[in-house]
Amino acid sequence: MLTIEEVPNTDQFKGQELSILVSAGWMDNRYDATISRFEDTYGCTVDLQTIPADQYSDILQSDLENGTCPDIFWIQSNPFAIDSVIVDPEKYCIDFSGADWQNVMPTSRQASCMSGDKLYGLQIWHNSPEYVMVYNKTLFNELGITSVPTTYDDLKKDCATIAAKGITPWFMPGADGWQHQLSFFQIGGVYQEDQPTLYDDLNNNKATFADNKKMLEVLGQFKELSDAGYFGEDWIGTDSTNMSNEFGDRKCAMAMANSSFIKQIQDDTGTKDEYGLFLIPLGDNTWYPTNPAGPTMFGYKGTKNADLVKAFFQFVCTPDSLQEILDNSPAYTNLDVNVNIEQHWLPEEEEFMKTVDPSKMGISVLQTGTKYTNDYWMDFGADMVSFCQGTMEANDVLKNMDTNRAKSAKTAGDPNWK
Amino acid sequence: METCAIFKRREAVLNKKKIYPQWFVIIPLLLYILFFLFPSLMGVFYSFTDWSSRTAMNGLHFVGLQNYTDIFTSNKDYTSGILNTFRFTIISNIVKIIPALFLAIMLQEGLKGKGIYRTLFYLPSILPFVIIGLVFRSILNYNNGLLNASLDAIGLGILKQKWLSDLGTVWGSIFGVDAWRGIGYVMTIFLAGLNAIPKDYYEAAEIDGANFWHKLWYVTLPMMKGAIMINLVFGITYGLKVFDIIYVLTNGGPGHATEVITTYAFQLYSEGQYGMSTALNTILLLVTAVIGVAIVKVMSRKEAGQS
Amino acid sequence: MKRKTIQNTIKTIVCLFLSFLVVAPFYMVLINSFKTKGEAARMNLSLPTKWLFQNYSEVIEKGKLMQGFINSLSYAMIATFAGVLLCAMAAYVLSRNETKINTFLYYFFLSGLFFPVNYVTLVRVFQWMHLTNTRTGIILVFTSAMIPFCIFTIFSFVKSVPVEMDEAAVIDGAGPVSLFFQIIVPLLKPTLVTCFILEFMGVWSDFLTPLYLSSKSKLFPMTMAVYQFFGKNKNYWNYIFADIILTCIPVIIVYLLGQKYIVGGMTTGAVKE
Repeated sequence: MLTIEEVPNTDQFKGQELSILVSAGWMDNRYDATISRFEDTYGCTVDLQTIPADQYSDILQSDLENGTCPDIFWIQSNPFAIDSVIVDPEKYCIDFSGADWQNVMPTSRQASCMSGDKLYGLQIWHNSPEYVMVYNKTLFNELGITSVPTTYDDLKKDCATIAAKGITPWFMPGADGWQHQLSFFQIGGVYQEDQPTLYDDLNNNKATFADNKKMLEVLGQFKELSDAGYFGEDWIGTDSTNMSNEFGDRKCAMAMANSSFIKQIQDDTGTKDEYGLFLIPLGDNTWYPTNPAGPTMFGYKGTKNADLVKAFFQFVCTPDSLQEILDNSPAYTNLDVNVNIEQHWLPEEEEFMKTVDPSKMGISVLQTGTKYTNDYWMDFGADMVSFCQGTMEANDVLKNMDTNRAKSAKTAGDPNWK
Repeated sequence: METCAIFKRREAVLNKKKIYPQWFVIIPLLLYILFFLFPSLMGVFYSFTDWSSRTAMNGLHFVGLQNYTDIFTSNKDYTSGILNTFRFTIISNIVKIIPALFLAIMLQEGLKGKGIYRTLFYLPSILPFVIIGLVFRSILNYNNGLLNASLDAIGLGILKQKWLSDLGTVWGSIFGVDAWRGIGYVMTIFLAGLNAIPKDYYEAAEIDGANFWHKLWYVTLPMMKGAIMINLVFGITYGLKVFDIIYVLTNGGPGHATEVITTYAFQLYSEGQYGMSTALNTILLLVTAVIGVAIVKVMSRKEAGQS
Repeated sequence: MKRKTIQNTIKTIVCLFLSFLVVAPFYMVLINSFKTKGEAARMNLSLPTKWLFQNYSEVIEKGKLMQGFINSLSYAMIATFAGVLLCAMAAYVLSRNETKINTFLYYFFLSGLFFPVNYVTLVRVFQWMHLTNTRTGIILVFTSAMIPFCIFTIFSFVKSVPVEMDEAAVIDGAGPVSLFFQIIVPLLKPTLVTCFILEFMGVWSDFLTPLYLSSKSKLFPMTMAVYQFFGKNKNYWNYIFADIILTCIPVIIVYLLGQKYIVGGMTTGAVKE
């Protein structure tokens, strides 16, 4: 356990301004108290610019190309993202190699902050299970479902039981465009288990998504559930705005969500029902969705306040700041850091983690473990919808992903794609 | 005749160059070229390069028409996107311009509260697109949405639809929301046009025994050429370049059913293929320009012929 | 007489029905702005169980709305005023003095209607001119962007002002500037006000331009604030709606004030004099 100390104040930053560029959702109000204290401690001001999510990457690219980037900027990072999003970290990012706070992050997350052995970013994120199945335990018990489904057949049976009572078994907000494909990608381990070198082969252009037996099977299962109406009558036209109320009103029994969503349901609706978590059972999956990705902050190399930037990074990693950030995040129950802070794990999370086999946590999700895949997240989702509406074949959905990945690979000059 | 002679003398008096000084045009011209035209043209130049998210690393290279040929040989169904764009342009304009004209006429006469009605009908166009998408996705929701709930309430439950996900109704829903949003804007321009028509023209027509439709055809429409042209040109450029309303309602979905040229261009841009994205936008630009200028030329000629 | 009353009654009924269609979504936004986060997510028309007026003060504080309001107001007011005036002058000359150059210039301006704004290259131009992060720069861009539409619109309406008015004024000894401002402008009022209203709204709702052209949040317009509350897991619909209501109010006021100036039937008697 580390204890990072803030840089001592000698009025060296008095009157300076630190600008931060971030996308909506990555910092929100969580950092407000810490930023305020930072301003007070050093007598400086912080200009926090929250950009709409849709525009963020355009603004960032424009700023980097034109040299007008704020002192600190964020990206959604994973082991491949620095190269594909920032492209030239040496040119744009402050080199933090050797910083005290490097080991505040667990080694798995450090991979998303480094490029070519140099440390560029800081990733403070939670380690709660992301996008697993959240379900209404009380409702399940009332309907006689005493154990969570671990195979696809179990899932189908349970869905039928729930649907018979006029409740939507699996709430699927298709209109968001980015959620339904999680059911395909989060179970990445299942594909690797079926074909042990799949991820590497996909990254070396020695394998394709097309014709992959397991993937076709999973897509088929998804369509089956959709056709049976288990996702809701109009899942394609429904978004997630009202999701917590759907649970609170008992109009649905389960959905993919972060474990912290349970707290959100309780806060928003005041429900007395009990909730739980289980792994997505498509393809008879038993793998935990490990995902060493998250919003990560970087220092802009062209800044005029490099020392102030460094002081900020240092400040954020102190135990006081980390505690503050966690306490001000109503949606998060813990921070994945090697620092002694008081975590707020939900009992449901702890119960769930006990049921997960540690040997099934070693494979990351498909979109993070393979290159060029995440860029086509939305496109794949749209194709899945076409497949469910009968205007596309399952294998064509997979073929499109291959074609798209090839496009990205060629643009990146990847030697494996000639 | 005497009046003609006076007019001729008056025309001789009017030194056009002095009375209508050319410098009135200079400032707008400079601003327009510097801050608008020049950056846009520079943007078009990028469509002939391999500009992408990797350009910072690899440098920028001229590739001629490569991007354009890639578009026409791509695996994406750009053809249906182009057809959708044209279909949207035609239908959305019919759905907006004709009702807006009648609305404007209705709110022109002595109707109590017309000032309030005009303001109300204009309101939808001031809402940001994000909010329109949010609100209408909720209204059109199959299970809880206001529309289906109202249909149930008045006993027309059989008319309930999956407004935004059923392939048969999704375009109708888009046209509906687009009309809700846009009619007030079109109406405002028509109102300005109607105000320019002197009342005595109508009085003269009524004396000759004209009814509503005669007045409309022989007085209103000819005098409104300007306003109609503005709404047509603006409506057609809007239709060809439409993006926001589709993006927030369906994002080109379900599947790819409601994709238009701009949603494809946006996807290309998001994938880092900036050069190709700009090329697609440039094609759009050319088509729009040709159609737009054609309309203006045709309508201006008609107007000149009139006087 | 009776026919008129029946006609008016039908018209009123139609207007009321249409008003209802128009107002319903606004009412939804308004009523949900007073609810709790959970209640607002349902987006229905029911009254709030508790009226949370403090949502508005929360939004004003958290979204830095005062600053945003001043920015938006200065951009919209100055740019639209300047833009409409400059374009009126230009369109008037182009229309009255139809030389070959002027016809070319008219179509030159017109083509701008079809060109999309390219932000990336615009930023480059800004850098050359040292205009990044300046209020002036942003206003200049807004003014330039509205030129095609305004010239196009005003050009069509200038023809409705009879040339005889010009001649009469010249005979009376008016110079070009006083001719324009004292005779032409008053007669073009409905058109100019319409242009002003439409462009004001355009500038007011444009958040992309200040976003690209400045890297300081103190230049951001009011419409950006809503994104403080938009996040994947944090959808405070009640705050978002409160912010929208506040953002719409100035535009509504401008329209209400403006449409009083769009009065009916102008030059009826003037020519005969």
